[in-house]
Amino acid sequence: MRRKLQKTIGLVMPVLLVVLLAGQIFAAPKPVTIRFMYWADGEQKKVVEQVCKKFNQLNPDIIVKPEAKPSDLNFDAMMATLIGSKNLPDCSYMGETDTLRYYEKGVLADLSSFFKKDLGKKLDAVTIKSTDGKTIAAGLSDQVMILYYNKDLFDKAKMEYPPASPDKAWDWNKFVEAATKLTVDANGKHPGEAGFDPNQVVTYGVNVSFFFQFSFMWALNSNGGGTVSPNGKELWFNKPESIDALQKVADLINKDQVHPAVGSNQAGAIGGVDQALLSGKVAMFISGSWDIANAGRAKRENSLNYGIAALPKLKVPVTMNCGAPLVIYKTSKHLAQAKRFYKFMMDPEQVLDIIKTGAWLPNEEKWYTDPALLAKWIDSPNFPSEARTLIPAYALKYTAQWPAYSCPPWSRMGSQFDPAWDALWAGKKTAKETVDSFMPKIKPIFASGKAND
Amino acid sequence: MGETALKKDLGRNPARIKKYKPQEAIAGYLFTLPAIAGFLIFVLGPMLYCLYLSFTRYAIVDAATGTPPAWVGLGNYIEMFTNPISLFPKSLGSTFYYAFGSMILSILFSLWVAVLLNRKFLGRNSLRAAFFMPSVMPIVATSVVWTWLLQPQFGLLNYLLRLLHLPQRNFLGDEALVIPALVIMSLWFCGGTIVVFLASLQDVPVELREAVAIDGGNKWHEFIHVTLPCISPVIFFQFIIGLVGAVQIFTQVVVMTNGGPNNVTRFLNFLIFEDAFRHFRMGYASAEAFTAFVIVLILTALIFKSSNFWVHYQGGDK
Repeated sequence: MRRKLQKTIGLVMPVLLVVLLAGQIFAAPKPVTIRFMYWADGEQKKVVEQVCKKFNQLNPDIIVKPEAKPSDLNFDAMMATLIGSKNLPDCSYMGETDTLRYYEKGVLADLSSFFKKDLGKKLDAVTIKSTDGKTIAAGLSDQVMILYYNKDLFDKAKMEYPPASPDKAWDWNKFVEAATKLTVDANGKHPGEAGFDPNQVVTYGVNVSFFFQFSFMWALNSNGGGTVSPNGKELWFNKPESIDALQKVADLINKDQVHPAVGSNQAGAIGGVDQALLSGKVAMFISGSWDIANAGRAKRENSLNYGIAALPKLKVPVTMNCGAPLVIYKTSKHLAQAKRFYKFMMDPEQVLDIIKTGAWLPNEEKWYTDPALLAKWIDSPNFPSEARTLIPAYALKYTAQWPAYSCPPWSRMGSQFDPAWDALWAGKKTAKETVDSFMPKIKPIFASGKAND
Repeated sequence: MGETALKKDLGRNPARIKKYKPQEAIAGYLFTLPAIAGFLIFVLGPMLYCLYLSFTRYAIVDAATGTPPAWVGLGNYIEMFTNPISLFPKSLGSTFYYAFGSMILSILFSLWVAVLLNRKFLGRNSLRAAFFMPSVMPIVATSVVWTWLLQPQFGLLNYLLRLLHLPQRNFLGDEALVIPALVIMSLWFCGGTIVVFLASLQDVPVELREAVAIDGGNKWHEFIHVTLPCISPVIFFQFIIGLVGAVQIFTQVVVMTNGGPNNVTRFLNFLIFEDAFRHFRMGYASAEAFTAFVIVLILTALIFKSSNFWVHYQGGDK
């Protein structure tokens, strides 16, 4: 009995040894870990985690570790401290206004040839290029500013809906006229009528997310002006067309009385698109396309009857866009693997679940031009029926790029001009006075052409 | 003989001092070492490094490329006070406007409430709890609540104004109103101060209060001539603590105003934070931080000096 056992062990042991040794020699190399940092709350966090999981399954030699952070304004500050402590991820989301600053500091990888050779043609509006023509990154999604409206309120006032096609967009007068009709005080009076009480407004005609630059800067472009000239060489804030557009926007609040007063951080108080339309406090809401996801949820859960339309035009129909880019850090020890993940994450096919919610619009041209690809997302029940007319046209033809993508000193200029809007929205200064107050401050910053000082 | 024994007990015997003092000193320092080391490593060290950085040009992201801080001498300090787009002077002004406003108002308010709560009446304990309750809430939650209270169209405060047929105000969007609004909001955090005042009011000697009554004084005389002097050290303490705390206002700005309108609420801490971490100007932000530190230090010293004239210590000396 004992001898038998010895014999068995004697036989098994060498075999086991050989198997183990062979395992050591032929085993696949240890997978490379890619740290990926992003901002997301709730649903989006889960979807991005699933995208990473799928990537890990398809690529056994890479393990992507997603690290979700709260989506507030402090993501950028957190990245800065990570860089300071040399604890950088390989890959992360980044604020549009920050990308050129980090690139100038030498932290971001140059992805020019990678974009040219390996990636599908991304929309120009979301692609970030340095002033010397290097491609640094592109937005994970394209986000365009659109007009949301509560259909029930339009029906109640017996008014036609705003047109979805940018070509047929309302002109400014028609827009203000509609907003005036939709603005109602507690006694049923409209602005301009005798006895209208601006302090007791029940429904405001329109609300603009003034917190975001692109939510009102499109108006400057639409009026034939702009913020920075298309070639990036001149400041256009003080062009008469730009000033006129700014004044028209500010008049919505103070002269036309169709827009609520703007608090410093009032986003939380009046509510987002879904809450504002649902409560009937606002009839039309100018915000980014990401709110399709929120309005869509309100439609499912609270039967919000809403539509989307083209922004009003001042002279030409135009929208402005944003869309946070995905970047790769130069310091990454696994650039090749990081690029493979980058390609995956930037592919609309892989993030289709997010796109179908309406939170992201595809960042790639063919997803708008190819009918089969377009149908994959725009026919999702989350998109209102007007989306087909409005969104591809906006993304392909009518987008004025937000200068944060292309103008290196934009963020530094922003810390000068952003605080100045408060006085304009409050009606304490005219558009001309406002622009005059910050122009001397931003001119030298713009002239330096530098993203950091 | 008895006296020597006593001295011996107190360790004042010269022979004993010679023998044990060095050892006791070493033991003493060893026992305080954790605290001292903590102070050196986590307080003094960073402060000195901050002082050094304030003379340099340095971005926190420079660490990634290994770019060292570049010496600029007094450049940051000069820029802070001379550059027309520098926000430091404005920030300093609004910070002290807020700090003194909120400090004085909250001391007056707390004292008033404490005096009332010190009287005997039905439901006193529940009222005491009610006044303490708000200061238990996190500042972020309080700030969100106040954003709603102050909201221009649908906020409760504007609703009340409307009921009274007064014009509605955009409290957080108006340059002139935003700091007073934040000062009023700071009363929300008075619970701690009220408790301290309440405790100190109970320490006011009864015989002194009775003396006023015997001399024919009324309650007002009692308050002015007995109560106030007796609790003046506590008021002084709250004054200093309140000032230092109020100068550091930060959370409310992040949640409610984001520095606006027109930079009015870009208080020192928020300004320093933004310059350091959002504008990549660690050197400049260090200069701002150090200047703010020195100014608060001088102010505190001045308040300490002034205490000779108005703070009354019952022991007679300080």
